[in-house]
Amino acid sequence: MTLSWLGSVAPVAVVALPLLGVLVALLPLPRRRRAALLIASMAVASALALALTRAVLAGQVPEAHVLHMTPQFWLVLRVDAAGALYGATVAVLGLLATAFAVGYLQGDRHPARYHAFAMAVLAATLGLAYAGNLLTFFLFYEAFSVLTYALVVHEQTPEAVAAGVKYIAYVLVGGTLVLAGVLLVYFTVGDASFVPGGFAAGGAVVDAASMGPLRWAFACFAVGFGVKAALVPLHGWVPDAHPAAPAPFSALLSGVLVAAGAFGILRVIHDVYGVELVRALGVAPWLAAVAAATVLVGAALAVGQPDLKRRLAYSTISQMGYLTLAVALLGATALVGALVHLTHHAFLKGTLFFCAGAWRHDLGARRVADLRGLGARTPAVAAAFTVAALGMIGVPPLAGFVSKWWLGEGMLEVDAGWALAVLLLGALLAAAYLLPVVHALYFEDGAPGASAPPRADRWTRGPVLAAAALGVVLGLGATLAGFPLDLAGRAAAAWFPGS
Amino acid sequence: MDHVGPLVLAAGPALGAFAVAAVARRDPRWAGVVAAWVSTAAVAGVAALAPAVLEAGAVTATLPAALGALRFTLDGVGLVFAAVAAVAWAIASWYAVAYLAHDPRAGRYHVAGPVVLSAMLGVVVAGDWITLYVFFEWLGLSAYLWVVHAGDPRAERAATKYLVLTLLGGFSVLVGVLILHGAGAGDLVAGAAADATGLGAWRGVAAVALVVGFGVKAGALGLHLWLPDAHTAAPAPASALLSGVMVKAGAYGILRALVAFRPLDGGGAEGNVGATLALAVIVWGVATMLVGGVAALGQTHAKRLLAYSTVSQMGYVLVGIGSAAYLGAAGAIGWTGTLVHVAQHASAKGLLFLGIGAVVHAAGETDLRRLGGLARRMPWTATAVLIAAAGIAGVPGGGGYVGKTIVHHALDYAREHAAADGVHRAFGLVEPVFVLATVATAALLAKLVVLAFFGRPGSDGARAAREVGPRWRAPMALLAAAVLGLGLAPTVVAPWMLAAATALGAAPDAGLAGVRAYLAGPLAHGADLRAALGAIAAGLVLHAGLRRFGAYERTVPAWLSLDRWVTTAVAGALVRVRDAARAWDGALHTVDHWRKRGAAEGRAALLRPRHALDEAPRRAQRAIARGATWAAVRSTAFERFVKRLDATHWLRESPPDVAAGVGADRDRWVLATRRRIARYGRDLGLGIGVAFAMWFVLVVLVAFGP
Repeated sequence: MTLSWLGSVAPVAVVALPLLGVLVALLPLPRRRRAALLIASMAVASALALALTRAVLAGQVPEAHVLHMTPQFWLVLRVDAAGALYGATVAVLGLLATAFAVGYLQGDRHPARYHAFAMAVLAATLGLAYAGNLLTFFLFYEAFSVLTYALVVHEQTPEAVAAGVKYIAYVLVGGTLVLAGVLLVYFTVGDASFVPGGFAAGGAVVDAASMGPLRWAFACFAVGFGVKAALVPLHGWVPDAHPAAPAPFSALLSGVLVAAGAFGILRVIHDVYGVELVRALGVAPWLAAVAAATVLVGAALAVGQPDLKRRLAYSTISQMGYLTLAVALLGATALVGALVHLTHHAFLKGTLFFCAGAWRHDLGARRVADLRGLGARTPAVAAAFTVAALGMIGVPPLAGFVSKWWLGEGMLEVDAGWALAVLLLGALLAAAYLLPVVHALYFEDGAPGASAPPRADRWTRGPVLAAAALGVVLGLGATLAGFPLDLAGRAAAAWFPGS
Repeated sequence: MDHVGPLVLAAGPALGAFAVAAVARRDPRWAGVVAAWVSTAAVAGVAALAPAVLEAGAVTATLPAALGALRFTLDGVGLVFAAVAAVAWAIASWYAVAYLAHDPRAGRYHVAGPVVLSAMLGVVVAGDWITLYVFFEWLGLSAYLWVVHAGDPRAERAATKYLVLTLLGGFSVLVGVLILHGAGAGDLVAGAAADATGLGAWRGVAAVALVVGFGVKAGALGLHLWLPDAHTAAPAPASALLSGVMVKAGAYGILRALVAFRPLDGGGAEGNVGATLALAVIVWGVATMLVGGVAALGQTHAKRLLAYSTVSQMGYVLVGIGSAAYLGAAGAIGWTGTLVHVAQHASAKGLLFLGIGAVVHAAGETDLRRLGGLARRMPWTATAVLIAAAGIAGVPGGGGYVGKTIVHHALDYAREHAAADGVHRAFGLVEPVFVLATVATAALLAKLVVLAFFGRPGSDGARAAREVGPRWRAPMALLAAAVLGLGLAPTVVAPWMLAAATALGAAPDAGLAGVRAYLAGPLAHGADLRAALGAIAAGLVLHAGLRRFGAYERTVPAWLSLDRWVTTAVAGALVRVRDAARAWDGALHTVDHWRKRGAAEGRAALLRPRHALDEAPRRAQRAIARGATWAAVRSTAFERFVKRLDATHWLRESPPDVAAGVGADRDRWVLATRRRIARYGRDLGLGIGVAFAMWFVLVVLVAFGP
């Protein structure tokens, strides 16, 4: 199949389709028609994003110079392997979340507002995935960060408003630091387009005098993106924002938006600085140490949290720590593990949040204690939750096992036994915060008199089951051509030539 | 030889579980029958594969999945374990139909059965380390359903402990597998890990990780803490399988690991991970034997006593594995002893658990002091338990005699070789300890049989006990036949044992022939007979002495319990860590909390004095608290600053005490805020929508324009 027509149109179309969705959401349409149009736009975007992964695997680099914004700066979309993988993850999870939201928002007073903002966030995140230079990346990063605010406060409860304030405070500071980093890099080196291997490969000269500013710039990036990536101690907004947001958006937030921070760090290390320069600067071990602390602290705090979504939010902090840790280890195999984990975690965590949302929406159950005995009353959702929970812990052969396997191999490759210990301790803690939920579902008796069948809804149940099925398929078929492992391997090969 | 058989063996029962689940929805009792037929079909499957394996040495299959492919290889060793597992499973499943006839959760139990069997068979037919790990993990997780079955707090505690240790063991195995696979030594080939280059310092780590990980499942000393609780809590047929079969999966893993790390051409103990590991496993096995046996003597709960006896018996298996691995090419005798012991322990210990299950069902008592006099009331059960106890104690004519005697010989050879290799003299002490443990085994089984079946009944339940029905007795009779068969005619299984020893790299020379001759007439060796009978006599004397002087009436002091120490320490440490993390996170991020309560009170909460030993953690907490106070004050100021900058007018008002607020004030504020947010949201949405629309038009113009 020739995919050349994809070249410049597809990346733009993938970003533009959700924007079309924004318009659809704002039009005064009947509920069903609006839902159908929204899902259709995300479905086409997903199909194009998946087609882009095929194109990238076929050796193409789809690229579009979209907009000449200032004399120095083009808005460029360029799809490499890592971007294609992240973009496809965002698009597919976005499709599932949109479908889930249609069911979840029944009875909500502002479904149009939700859909409009969610679509805008998805568009910005897809743009971020395909961004071809640092300024484009920053533009989309800021756009989706700010737009997210509207979804955090969507439910308009005092808790949501408070979470929104906290969110916007954290994110604005983070964004400002990223901007500072961008400017520092721009004025030190002069060019900031993404090139595998960084400026050195792009021909820029890095002399001793520029090492200092570059180190500062890296610190800005690490802290700025670290806010989004929920690195401890910058994680404060995460456990408040997730329970406050509507469940479909919590799934997106946890699955792909927090990962954008780690993705930013990845881009900075490999496409802006280059591995060699990062090694020379000696900053990676610090980042790795912070990430390791994130893994353990996040997981330890998740254990025993009574609110299910809050528990899952802490889990996200921990899991995103794996991503940053693996990126900071600067090894090819660890990088493969990180990218695969990004995708696999997105669908597993998405499933968990969908389940939490389904229980909250159908039964009003928010706390883990409310879930007692639901295994018999909501068998499909409970089964999906169980599968995803086992996957998160890393039980073979589910998706989480595959990514942890590669992370583990990568850690051994760079002789980082301590990182492996952190990985496994994190997995053990994951068991400690997820298995009690499963235990409550199946092995504890619910409140007496609560035996009425729940208000089942195929809109909420369908995406739940689809996401859980993806968690299984991604695990069982991990080594098939075109699956995340394939793309991640391609990305690592570009960044670590000769390994 | 390629053959779909191993794959069917590993996956078939799990698929059968779907049928069981379908039936269980209608009638849990029929589900038990279906599950029992599935297990019986597994026996037929193993029997059908056996000729091919014995002829070709191994049959293999591949299933593309997960990390490339799952590889299955059924060789002689796997065949013995698979046969033992399938047969024990079938018998225990038929017993379970009767045992769980009136259990409301029977459906879940029966559905779990074939799933666990699938995992167990998967472990022993796995062809590489990854596949083995996949099934090993599922074995541990799915057996949770059986441990937690009773649903009472005791079962819950046992199941949680089981799960934690199983997960830890699983991760330890994963570390070993990751290392081996990364070095290209992922196959279960003899000597693969010993010969792999590029392992370096990781070789020792991998070896220890694997042995420790599997040691958890095998109930090796120090890692056995889950075992007594889990066996006590699970239903009797599940205990029989846990004890008879599933702990053997751990032994199987250790066996494969030792073989992988042992260079076949022998060599001294120096600088050779495999040899050191084998010696360590022997010492560990002997210690496990002795401690397990002594601990069992101190138990009064019938199933707990049997569980500790299982720990002790797994010590024999470890000694056999270690000796055989140390002997390398000359290890045929060790492998044979190990495998005979595995088979006989599966049947005899399974039978003991089934028998005690019948006793518990009939008398409603599990405390040995409240049983007694059951031999007359339950003659069939008493006979079966007596046969099984005699078998494990090593009475000639039972399977235990054969297994233990051969393992003993293997240990002797290993000791001689070790002495020749220059291993420290103290290693010679393993043999007297081995003999002591054998004496303890005889004593503890005498205690069980005498207290439960002889003397006067200790309770009304025991007085009212009646013999169980034929559906209970038939499975017990089958296992009793297996115990006696292994003891009287072990030559029947000789070809299987020899095939296994060959698969493990034992040289096909005089060693194998000697083993074959021994298995043909195990009762023809005077010295062995005398040794076995002497140990049993000593055991009986020990039992009589302990009973005469009232040792059985006393309760073992709690501080002697390793379990209690470890559990308390670990649980305490975990809770402490969690509390500290919570306090820190709360201090760092719950600004409102600090504003309301004030820093001093929060600090007091953080520094709540515990007791004198806590001085060090307290100092750390104080440091954290200081940092947290600083951060909280800073972030409060910061938040105020942000709010002042905030252009969103409706947020300028702060909520009147959101967390603890009551009354009309809060409601009014909420309503007003909602209205404001709605208005604001509409405006903002519209604005952003228009902006994006314009942007979209621009994008399209630029992308598709000239």
